[in-house]
Amino acid sequence: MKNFVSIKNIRKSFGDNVAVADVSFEVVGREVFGLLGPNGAGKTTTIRMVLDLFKPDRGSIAVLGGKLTTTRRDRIGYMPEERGLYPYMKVLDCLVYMGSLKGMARKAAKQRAIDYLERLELADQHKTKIEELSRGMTQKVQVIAAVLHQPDLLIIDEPFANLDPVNTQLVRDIILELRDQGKAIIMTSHQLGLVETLCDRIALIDKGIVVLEGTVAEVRRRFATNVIHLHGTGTLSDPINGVTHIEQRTASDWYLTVSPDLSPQAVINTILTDSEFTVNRFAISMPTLDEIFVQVVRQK
Amino acid sequence: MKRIWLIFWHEYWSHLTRRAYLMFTFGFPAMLIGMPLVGGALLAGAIFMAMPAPDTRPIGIVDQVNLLLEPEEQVMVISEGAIVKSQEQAGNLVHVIFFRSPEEAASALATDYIQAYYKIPPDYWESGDVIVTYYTAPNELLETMVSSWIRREVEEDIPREFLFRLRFGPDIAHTSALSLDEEETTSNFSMINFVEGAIVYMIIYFVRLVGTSFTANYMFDSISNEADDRTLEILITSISPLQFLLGKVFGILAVGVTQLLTWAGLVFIVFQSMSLIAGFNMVGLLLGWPHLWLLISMLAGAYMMDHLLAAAMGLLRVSGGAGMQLFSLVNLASGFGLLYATYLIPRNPHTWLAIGASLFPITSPIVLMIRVVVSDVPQWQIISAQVLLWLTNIVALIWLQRLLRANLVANRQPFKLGGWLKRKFWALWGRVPSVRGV
Repeated sequence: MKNFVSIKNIRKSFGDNVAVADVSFEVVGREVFGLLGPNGAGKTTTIRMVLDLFKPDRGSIAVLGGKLTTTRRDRIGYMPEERGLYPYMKVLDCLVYMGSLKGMARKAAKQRAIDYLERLELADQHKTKIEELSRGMTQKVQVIAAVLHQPDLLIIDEPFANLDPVNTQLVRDIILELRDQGKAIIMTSHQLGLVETLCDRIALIDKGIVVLEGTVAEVRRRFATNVIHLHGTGTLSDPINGVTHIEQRTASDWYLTVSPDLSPQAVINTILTDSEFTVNRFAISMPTLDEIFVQVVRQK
Repeated sequence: MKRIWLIFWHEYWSHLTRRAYLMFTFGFPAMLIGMPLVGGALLAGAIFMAMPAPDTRPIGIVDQVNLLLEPEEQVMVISEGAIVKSQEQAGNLVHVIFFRSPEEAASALATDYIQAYYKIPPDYWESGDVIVTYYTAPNELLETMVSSWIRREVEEDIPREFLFRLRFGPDIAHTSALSLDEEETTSNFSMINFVEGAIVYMIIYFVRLVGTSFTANYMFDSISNEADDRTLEILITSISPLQFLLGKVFGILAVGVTQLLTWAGLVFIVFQSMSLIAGFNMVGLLLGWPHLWLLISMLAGAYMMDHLLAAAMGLLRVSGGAGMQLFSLVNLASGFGLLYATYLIPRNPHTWLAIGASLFPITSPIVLMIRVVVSDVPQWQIISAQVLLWLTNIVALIWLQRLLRANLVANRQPFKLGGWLKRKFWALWGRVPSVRGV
């Protein structure tokens, strides 16, 4: 699949401070790519280099097939973490202006802005000045400004901050809709629960280096521990061959730590045959992205 | 080009419709015209209230040196007292009656026919005394009017050239002993130059110091706010820094030009009215002035330079008023240029300092313009001054693009002039980036 963004070994420092030491990743079409990492890890600097706001000291960046030209700029949508819209402008006027700067015809920009405002339940605010909107509403207007011109590459920094669950769902739908249209989305977020459900692939940056990359499922599998989650009734015989630790968390939920030299399947077989325990459901217990994030950052 | 136009129009319209802008654009001339009118009306009212009840009786004049009345007119004076000379010569207050002798005037005063009589004695040219005789002192306004009438009549007898010398002193023409060509080193200051100089001075003052400082503030606020709230970061993902800066500078420049044109329209009306009264076509003089295009070019260049400087201050986010303080330093240099050009250039237009100040971009729009009014400035200096001014603008624009990228996402920190100068100095040579955080 064609790369929408291709970053190879980029480095950027500001004086003595190395913001990005060595970052490489690729983003393809029809995917949501999560750029994760603790504060100050270098995510925003990386994004700004992709947008050609900064030039990398070293390495190469190709966006939408090459260097960032005016035509390619028009195919990018960007929403920074710190929101930027003219506070004294009315919502619709501001959106039309932003759309025009991206090469849209004024009329088309106005019509699409109205459509998005209706979709995000802001239609009755179109004449309100930005400075008079609540934080959540401003956030939604910001999202519209980023997607108004239907960009091929959307870069959004913390898109769900300040949003309630209903609005989070509305914005999430817009992102997924773009993805389904074949566009690429790069997002950063500290709400890893949302990242887990929204992103196809992630890269975890820490101290300016990519420490983890892959699909969400791959990453979780990579960090999967030998813990089996059993849901059922009855009593487990203790000890069970190959199980080093048994923990009962609720009346029907049990967590069994399996010895590294045995497969979970073998342990399940033992339980099914030897114990007086009825298994309703079982699963290999996977760590959440939150747990992986904490583990990786602490290890570093 | 379309993007530049979009930025231009956005800046222009959003600033033009601001309440503060409209208030200043229309309020400033209204204040300039209205305050003297209101002040004058209040003063006149106060004087009128303080004055005693007007005495409507005529005043007498005994002109023994024929200053106000020609000898042949004396013949027309009727025997028992007087003739009415004219109403307007003593304003609309009282009639003026001329008497042949002090005795006739004293007789008229004794019978209450006149309220007072002024005697211009035969030794007036030596003493300068005019003697007024009365029972009750005439009001001060009446006396002022008689006094200015006499002064006007005296001035009419003096050739205009002499009068000009009396008022403005001599023209000191400098001739360098080293130069063989006297023409080149001599000031040709004249009455026409004086009027031109006054017009140029006024235009420079309003455009350079009043207009610029106002709209340069817009530039500073606009850029520093956009940098602070990250709008700039979004804009720069759609347009290049050069497109952004050009649109912004010309947009705000247009705001200033609109303001100046509004004021110029009002000045035009005033000048045209004055032309009708004084018979002196000031607008025609200005439009026919051979250096008009030079004036426009230099002022436009200066205007752009000021706005680029304000943009730089805004990008550096020199907050807490320090940005405009730094900007004021440059304005102060312009102010010194204005003082120098006003008081010293007309007498010494070709010194090395004058030539240097005519070429230096910060002072050239003022000093060069005054020099071309009062002397013949060599063509090479006129061309060099323009080239240097516009070249400075181009270099500033290129430098601003770098500055814009470098300061786009700099974190706000308290401004420290020493640290700032050090950082910027090295950043100019690409040694230490000016970004303070990420």
